Amino acid sequence: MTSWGRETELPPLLLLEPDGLVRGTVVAVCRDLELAHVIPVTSSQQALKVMRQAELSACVLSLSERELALDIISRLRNGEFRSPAELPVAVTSGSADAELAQVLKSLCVRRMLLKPFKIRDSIITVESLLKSSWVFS
Amino acid sequence: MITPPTPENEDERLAALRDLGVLDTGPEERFDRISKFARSEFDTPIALVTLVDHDRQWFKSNVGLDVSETPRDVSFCGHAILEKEVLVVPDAKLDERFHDNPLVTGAPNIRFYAGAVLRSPEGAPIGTLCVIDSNPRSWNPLDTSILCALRDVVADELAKKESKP
Repeated sequence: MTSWGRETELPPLLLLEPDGLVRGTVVAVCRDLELAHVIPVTSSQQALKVMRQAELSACVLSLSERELALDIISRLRNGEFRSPAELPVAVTSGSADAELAQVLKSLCVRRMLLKPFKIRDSIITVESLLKSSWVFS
Repeated sequence: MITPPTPENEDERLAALRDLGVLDTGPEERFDRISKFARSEFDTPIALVTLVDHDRQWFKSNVGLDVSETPRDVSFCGHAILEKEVLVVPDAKLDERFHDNPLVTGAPNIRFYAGAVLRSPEGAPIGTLCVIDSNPRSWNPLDTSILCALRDVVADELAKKESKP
């Protein structure tokens, strides 16, 4: 198991995911594989708080509270948080349409995972986001 | 076929298993949800939460099998509990421990098995969270990590049961 000290050396990643089983599994796998120090939250309000306080390497946001989550990404792109405006972002959603796809494109969202997605795919997405985050570090 | 060896600490292991108070209890959504999740995650027809008793393996959660237990001497999980973390059998027909096992040569025609060891709060190996397929498969470290993470959720749930008055 990764020690706390070592875990905090890993790139910080914000995960907004309301499903406890998905959230806990992603956190555990990222820790086990030493991919990221995941900061898990269950609501957009909590995600906003983390965005205000932490400098992140990437984030994965559920769109279960779609307007709030999109507002967070928009404010990120406007440079309102501690993280760089170019922070790599992926989203998860229970549905998708052309309008949402257009909004996500305008917000430079790297990837959307449609629920129910596999943990494997979310981990591959995390890896991809963190690789691209190196460009901005 | 090679029957599962008996762990050195078998008496303590069985005592820890019985202390959990889970054997022969009914299905519970909190375990079935994890089994269904594992089956979906790994695209396998079968996912189980098994507890290895003295002469049987009993299924606390069973997704995809129509029996509630099998004899321990033909169980894959009886072998798995001897591992530190995970037993992976990519193709049972190529494995001397299992190639002529009746669960391989007949229903449910197991070819692939991956089981993560479930431990009691004291650390005794009591069973597994396992996924089973009727086709041979490959497996990688990410799969192991995911299965172990789900196994840890099962172990937490078992501990909750144990901590009830």
